[in-house]
Amino acid sequence: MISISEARQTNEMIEEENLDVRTITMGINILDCADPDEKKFCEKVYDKITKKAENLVKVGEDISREFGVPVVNKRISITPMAIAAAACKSNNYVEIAKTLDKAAKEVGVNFIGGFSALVHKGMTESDRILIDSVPEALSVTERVCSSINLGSTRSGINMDAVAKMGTIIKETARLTKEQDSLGCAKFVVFCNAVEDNPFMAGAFHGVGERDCAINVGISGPGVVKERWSEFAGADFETLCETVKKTALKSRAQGSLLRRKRHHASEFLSE
Amino acid sequence: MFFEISQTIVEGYFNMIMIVDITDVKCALVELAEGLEKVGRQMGVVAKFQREEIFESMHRI
Repeated sequence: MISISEARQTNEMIEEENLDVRTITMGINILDCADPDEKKFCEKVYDKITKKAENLVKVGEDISREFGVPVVNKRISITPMAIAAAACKSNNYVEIAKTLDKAAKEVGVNFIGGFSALVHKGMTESDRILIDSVPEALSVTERVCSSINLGSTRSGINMDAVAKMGTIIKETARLTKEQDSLGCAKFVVFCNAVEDNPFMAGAFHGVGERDCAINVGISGPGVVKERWSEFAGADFETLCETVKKTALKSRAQGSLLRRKRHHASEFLSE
Repeated sequence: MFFEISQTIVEGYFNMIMIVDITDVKCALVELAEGLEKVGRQMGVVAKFQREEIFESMHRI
Protein backbone atom coordinates (compact mmCIF):
# COMPACT_ATOMS: atom_id res chain seq x y z
CA MET A 1 0.00 0.00 0.00
CA ILE A 2 1.13 3.53 -0.66
CA SER A 3 2.28 5.77 2.14
CA ILE A 4 0.95 9.23 2.93
CA SER A 5 4.36 10.80 2.27
CA GLU A 6 4.47 9.28 -1.22
CA ALA A 7 1.01 10.66 -1.95
CA ARG A 8 2.09 14.06 -0.70
CA GLN A 9 5.25 14.08 -2.78
CA THR A 10 3.35 13.18 -5.95
CA ASN A 11 0.78 15.88 -5.36
CA GLU A 12 3.43 18.49 -4.65
CA MET A 13 4.96 17.64 -8.01
CA ILE A 14 1.58 18.06 -9.72
CA GLU A 15 0.31 21.12 -7.91
CA GLU A 16 3.43 23.16 -7.27
CA GLU A 17 6.00 22.00 -9.78
CA ASN A 18 3.88 21.75 -12.92
CA LEU A 19 4.17 18.04 -13.45
CA ASP A 20 1.53 17.15 -16.00
CA VAL A 21 0.76 15.08 -19.04
CA ARG A 22 1.64 17.53 -21.79
CA THR A 23 -0.12 15.50 -24.42
CA ILE A 24 -1.79 12.24 -25.28
CA THR A 25 -1.16 11.81 -28.99
CA MET A 26 -2.87 9.13 -31.01
CA GLY A 27 -0.84 7.96 -34.00
CA ILE A 28 -3.03 6.73 -36.86
CA ASN A 29 -1.83 4.89 -39.96
CA ILE A 30 -3.69 6.13 -43.05
CA LEU A 31 -1.82 4.11 -45.68
CA ASP A 32 -4.88 1.88 -46.09
CA CYS A 33 -6.91 4.92 -47.22
CA ALA A 34 -4.95 5.24 -50.49
CA ASP A 35 -7.15 5.95 -53.50
CA PRO A 36 -6.51 7.52 -56.93
CA ASP A 37 -9.65 9.60 -56.48
CA GLU A 38 -8.80 12.51 -54.19
CA LYS A 39 -12.36 12.91 -52.95
CA LYS A 40 -12.63 9.24 -51.99
CA PHE A 41 -9.22 9.40 -50.35
CA CYS A 42 -10.36 12.37 -48.26
CA GLU A 43 -13.53 10.54 -47.24
CA LYS A 44 -11.59 7.47 -46.16
CA VAL A 45 -9.07 9.54 -44.20
CA TYR A 46 -11.83 11.52 -42.48
CA ASP A 47 -13.75 8.36 -41.58
CA LYS A 48 -10.70 6.56 -40.26
CA ILE A 49 -9.51 9.46 -38.11
CA THR A 50 -12.94 10.27 -36.69
CA LYS A 51 -13.60 6.60 -35.93
CA LYS A 52 -10.25 5.81 -34.31
CA ALA A 53 -10.08 9.04 -32.30
CA GLU A 54 -13.78 9.19 -31.49
CA ASN A 55 -13.21 8.80 -27.74
CA LEU A 56 -9.69 10.21 -27.49
CA VAL A 57 -10.63 13.51 -25.85
CA LYS A 58 -13.22 12.02 -23.51
CA VAL A 59 -11.00 9.19 -22.29
CA GLY A 60 -8.11 11.64 -21.92
CA GLU A 61 -10.26 13.77 -19.66
CA ASP A 62 -11.50 10.74 -17.70
CA ILE A 63 -7.94 9.57 -17.09
CA SER A 64 -7.04 13.05 -15.91
CA ARG A 65 -9.90 12.94 -13.42
CA GLU A 66 -9.21 9.42 -12.14
CA PHE A 67 -5.53 9.98 -11.49
CA GLY A 68 -5.69 13.65 -10.60
CA VAL A 69 -3.03 14.51 -13.17
CA PRO A 70 -3.77 17.27 -15.68
CA VAL A 71 -3.77 16.11 -19.31
CA VAL A 72 -3.14 19.35 -21.14
CA ASN A 73 -3.48 18.41 -24.82
CA LYS A 74 -5.07 15.69 -26.87
CA ARG A 75 -3.64 15.35 -30.37
CA ILE A 76 -3.36 13.15 -33.45
CA SER A 77 -0.48 12.22 -35.71
CA ILE A 78 -0.91 10.48 -39.07
CA THR A 79 1.31 8.75 -41.62
CA PRO A 80 3.31 11.35 -43.62
CA MET A 81 0.76 12.59 -46.11
CA ALA A 82 3.14 12.62 -49.09
CA ILE A 83 3.36 8.81 -48.76
CA ALA A 84 -0.30 8.18 -48.00
CA ALA A 85 -1.60 10.45 -50.78
CA ALA A 86 0.91 9.35 -53.42
CA ALA A 87 -1.72 7.43 -55.40
CA CYS A 88 -4.01 10.47 -55.68
CA LYS A 89 -4.43 11.97 -59.12
CA SER A 90 -4.16 15.51 -57.87
CA ASN A 91 -1.72 18.35 -58.28
CA ASN A 92 -2.56 20.04 -55.01
CA TYR A 93 -3.09 18.65 -51.50
CA VAL A 94 -4.86 21.64 -49.94
CA GLU A 95 -8.23 19.86 -49.95
CA ILE A 96 -6.61 16.98 -48.10
CA ALA A 97 -5.31 19.40 -45.46
CA LYS A 98 -8.81 20.83 -45.08
CA THR A 99 -10.11 17.31 -44.52
CA LEU A 100 -7.57 16.79 -41.72
CA ASP A 101 -8.63 20.09 -40.16
CA LYS A 102 -12.28 19.06 -40.30
CA ALA A 103 -11.53 15.67 -38.73
CA ALA A 104 -9.46 17.32 -35.95
CA LYS A 105 -12.34 19.67 -35.14
CA GLU A 106 -14.85 16.83 -35.20
CA VAL A 107 -13.01 14.78 -32.57
CA GLY A 108 -11.95 17.87 -30.57
CA VAL A 109 -8.14 17.59 -30.73
CA ASN A 110 -6.18 20.83 -30.86
CA PHE A 111 -3.59 19.70 -33.43
CA ILE A 112 -3.20 17.06 -36.09
CA GLY A 113 0.33 16.45 -37.39
CA GLY A 114 1.52 14.57 -40.43
CA PHE A 115 0.99 16.86 -43.40
CA SER A 116 4.56 15.80 -44.01
CA ALA A 117 7.14 14.63 -46.52
CA LEU A 118 10.43 12.77 -46.03
CA VAL A 119 12.79 14.00 -48.74
CA HIS A 120 16.24 13.60 -47.15
CA LYS A 121 17.59 11.71 -50.13
CA GLY A 122 15.26 12.67 -52.95
CA MET A 123 11.84 13.94 -53.81
CA THR A 124 8.94 12.01 -55.35
CA GLU A 125 6.21 13.75 -57.32
CA SER A 126 3.91 13.40 -54.31
CA ASP A 127 6.55 15.00 -52.05
CA ARG A 128 6.81 17.95 -54.45
CA ILE A 129 3.03 18.42 -54.57
CA LEU A 130 2.81 18.31 -50.78
CA ILE A 131 5.62 20.80 -50.27
CA ASP A 132 4.10 23.19 -52.82
CA SER A 133 0.76 22.91 -51.00
CA VAL A 134 2.20 23.74 -47.55
CA PRO A 135 1.81 27.57 -47.57
CA GLU A 136 -1.82 27.53 -48.65
CA ALA A 137 -2.67 24.46 -46.57
CA LEU A 138 -1.36 26.11 -43.39
CA SER A 139 -3.15 29.37 -44.13
CA VAL A 140 -6.59 27.87 -44.75
CA THR A 141 -6.51 25.39 -41.85
CA GLU A 142 -6.31 25.94 -38.10
CA ARG A 143 -5.14 22.71 -36.56
CA VAL A 144 -3.04 21.03 -39.24
CA CYS A 145 0.71 20.82 -38.62
CA SER A 146 3.25 20.15 -41.32
CA SER A 147 6.84 18.94 -41.37
CA ILE A 148 9.55 18.15 -43.91
CA ASN A 149 12.67 16.07 -43.32
CA LEU A 150 15.34 17.20 -45.74
CA GLY A 151 18.53 15.73 -44.44
CA SER A 152 20.02 12.82 -42.53
CA THR A 153 23.48 11.87 -41.25
CA ARG A 154 23.35 8.81 -43.46
CA SER A 155 22.21 10.30 -46.75
CA GLY A 156 23.39 13.89 -46.45
CA ILE A 157 21.34 17.00 -47.09
CA ASN A 158 18.95 17.35 -50.01
CA MET A 159 20.06 20.80 -51.19
CA ASP A 160 17.26 21.09 -53.75
CA ALA A 161 14.80 20.69 -50.89
CA VAL A 162 16.71 23.23 -48.80
CA ALA A 163 16.50 25.79 -51.64
CA LYS A 164 12.78 25.11 -52.03
CA MET A 165 12.20 25.43 -48.30
CA GLY A 166 13.32 29.07 -48.30
CA THR A 167 10.49 30.01 -50.65
CA ILE A 168 7.98 27.79 -48.85
CA ILE A 169 8.67 29.25 -45.42
CA LYS A 170 8.53 32.83 -46.75
CA GLU A 171 5.30 32.17 -48.61
CA THR A 172 3.76 30.51 -45.52
CA ALA A 173 4.65 33.59 -43.50
CA ARG A 174 3.21 35.91 -46.17
CA LEU A 175 -0.10 34.04 -46.48
CA THR A 176 -0.67 34.17 -42.71
CA LYS A 177 0.75 37.68 -42.14
CA GLU A 178 -2.57 38.90 -40.71
CA GLN A 179 -2.12 36.45 -37.82
CA ASP A 180 1.55 37.16 -37.03
CA SER A 181 2.59 34.62 -39.70
CA LEU A 182 1.13 31.84 -37.58
CA GLY A 183 1.49 29.36 -40.45
CA CYS A 184 5.21 29.11 -39.72
CA ALA A 185 4.53 28.07 -36.11
CA LYS A 186 2.73 25.01 -37.47
CA PHE A 187 5.62 24.04 -39.73
CA VAL A 188 8.83 22.16 -38.90
CA VAL A 189 11.83 21.49 -41.12
CA PHE A 190 13.94 18.60 -39.88
CA CYS A 191 17.32 17.12 -40.33
CA ASN A 192 17.51 13.59 -38.91
CA ALA A 193 13.79 13.35 -38.18
CA VAL A 194 13.07 10.31 -36.01
CA GLU A 195 11.13 7.42 -37.46
CA ASP A 196 8.01 8.22 -35.46
CA ASN A 197 7.34 11.52 -33.70
CA PRO A 198 4.39 12.32 -31.42
CA PHE A 199 5.45 15.94 -30.73
CA MET A 200 3.91 18.90 -32.52
CA ALA A 201 4.38 20.61 -34.81
CA GLY A 202 6.66 17.97 -36.29
CA ALA A 203 4.48 15.00 -35.38
CA PHE A 204 3.84 12.15 -37.77
CA HIS A 205 2.95 8.47 -37.39
CA GLY A 206 5.97 6.33 -38.35
CA VAL A 207 5.56 3.74 -41.10
CA GLY A 208 7.13 1.15 -38.80
CA GLU A 209 4.35 1.63 -36.26
CA ARG A 210 1.16 -0.36 -35.74
CA ASP A 211 -2.17 0.82 -37.18
CA CYS A 212 -3.01 2.97 -34.19
CA ALA A 213 -0.80 3.89 -31.23
CA ILE A 214 -1.09 5.96 -28.08
CA ASN A 215 1.83 8.19 -27.05
CA VAL A 216 1.97 9.98 -23.72
CA GLY A 217 4.24 13.01 -23.30
CA ILE A 218 5.13 14.03 -19.73
CA SER A 219 6.28 17.50 -18.83
CA GLY A 220 8.48 17.60 -15.78
CA PRO A 221 11.05 20.41 -16.14
CA GLY A 222 9.52 22.28 -13.19
CA VAL A 223 9.85 19.18 -11.06
CA VAL A 224 13.48 18.67 -12.02
CA LYS A 225 14.26 22.35 -11.38
CA GLU A 226 12.66 22.19 -7.93
CA ARG A 227 14.72 19.12 -6.94
CA TRP A 228 17.78 20.79 -8.39
CA SER A 229 17.36 23.90 -6.22
CA GLU A 230 16.97 21.71 -3.13
CA PHE A 231 20.43 20.35 -3.83
CA ALA A 232 22.08 23.67 -4.70
CA GLY A 233 25.78 23.53 -3.92
CA ALA A 234 25.87 19.74 -3.92
CA ASP A 235 28.50 17.92 -5.97
CA PHE A 236 27.87 17.10 -9.60
CA GLU A 237 27.29 13.41 -9.00
CA THR A 238 24.51 14.12 -6.48
CA LEU A 239 22.87 16.52 -8.94
CA CYS A 240 23.00 13.96 -11.76
CA GLU A 241 21.54 11.29 -9.52
CA THR A 242 18.73 13.62 -8.40
CA VAL A 243 17.80 14.60 -11.95
CA LYS A 244 17.86 10.95 -13.00
CA LYS A 245 15.59 9.82 -10.15
CA THR A 246 13.14 12.68 -10.67
CA ALA A 247 12.96 12.07 -14.42
CA LEU A 248 12.36 8.38 -13.76
CA LYS A 249 9.41 9.18 -11.51
CA SER A 250 7.87 11.51 -14.10
CA ARG A 251 8.38 8.91 -16.77
CA ALA A 252 6.85 6.16 -14.66
CA GLN A 253 3.71 8.22 -14.49
CA GLY A 254 3.54 8.47 -18.29
CA SER A 255 4.07 4.73 -18.63
CA LEU A 256 1.22 4.03 -16.25
CA LEU A 257 -1.22 6.12 -18.24
CA ARG A 258 -0.09 4.53 -21.47
CA ARG A 259 -0.36 1.04 -19.99
CA LYS A 260 -4.03 1.51 -19.17
CA ARG A 261 -5.02 -0.85 -21.90
CA HIS A 262 -8.68 -0.90 -21.00
CA HIS A 263 -8.58 2.82 -21.60
CA ALA A 264 -6.63 2.33 -24.79
CA SER A 265 -9.36 0.07 -26.11
CA GLU A 266 -11.84 2.83 -25.34
CA PHE A 267 -9.57 5.19 -27.22
CA LEU A 268 -9.51 2.95 -30.22
CA SER A 269 -13.26 2.39 -30.12
CA GLU A 270 -13.04 -0.81 -32.11
CA MET B 1 -13.13 1.38 4.76
CA PHE B 2 -10.19 3.58 5.84
CA PHE B 3 -6.67 2.23 5.66
CA GLU B 4 -4.78 5.28 6.73
CA ILE B 5 -5.48 8.90 7.56
CA SER B 6 -3.16 11.84 8.11
CA GLN B 7 -3.94 15.38 9.19
CA THR B 8 -1.30 18.08 9.01
CA ILE B 9 -0.92 21.83 8.67
CA VAL B 10 1.16 22.65 5.60
CA GLU B 11 2.13 26.32 5.27
CA GLY B 12 -0.93 27.35 7.26
CA TYR B 13 -3.34 25.13 5.31
CA PHE B 14 -5.13 22.22 6.90
CA ASN B 15 -4.36 19.13 4.90
CA MET B 16 -5.97 15.71 5.26
CA ILE B 17 -5.13 12.62 3.24
CA MET B 18 -7.21 9.46 3.46
CA ILE B 19 -6.42 6.15 1.86
CA VAL B 20 -9.72 4.37 1.30
CA ASP B 21 -10.95 1.15 -0.24
CA ILE B 22 -13.35 1.77 -3.13
CA THR B 23 -13.97 -1.87 -4.04
CA ASP B 24 -17.66 -1.54 -3.24
CA VAL B 25 -18.15 1.73 -5.11
CA LYS B 26 -20.67 1.05 -7.85
CA CYS B 27 -20.53 4.27 -9.88
CA ALA B 28 -17.90 5.23 -12.45
CA LEU B 29 -14.69 6.62 -10.96
CA VAL B 30 -15.16 9.87 -12.84
CA GLU B 31 -18.55 10.29 -11.14
CA LEU B 32 -16.95 9.58 -7.77
CA ALA B 33 -14.27 12.20 -8.45
CA GLU B 34 -16.83 14.77 -9.55
CA GLY B 35 -19.10 14.00 -6.59
CA LEU B 36 -16.25 14.48 -4.12
CA GLU B 37 -15.23 17.74 -5.76
CA LYS B 38 -18.79 18.97 -5.47
CA VAL B 39 -19.09 18.02 -1.80
CA GLY B 40 -15.74 19.71 -1.20
CA ARG B 41 -16.95 22.94 -2.79
CA GLN B 42 -20.09 22.87 -0.63
CA MET B 43 -17.93 22.50 2.48
CA GLY B 44 -15.56 25.24 1.33
CA VAL B 45 -12.58 22.91 0.91
CA VAL B 46 -10.74 21.39 -2.03
CA ALA B 47 -11.45 17.65 -2.22
CA LYS B 48 -9.44 15.59 -4.64
CA PHE B 49 -9.71 11.92 -5.59
CA GLN B 50 -6.83 9.97 -7.11
CA ARG B 51 -6.26 6.31 -7.83
CA GLU B 52 -3.50 4.56 -5.91
CA GLU B 53 -1.69 3.41 -9.05
CA ILE B 54 -0.47 6.93 -9.83
CA PHE B 55 1.52 6.98 -6.57
CA GLU B 56 2.69 3.39 -6.84
CA SER B 57 3.94 3.89 -10.38
CA MET B 58 6.03 6.87 -9.33
CA HIS B 59 7.52 5.49 -6.14
CA ARG B 60 7.88 1.75 -6.69
CA ILE B 61 9.93 0.09 -9.37
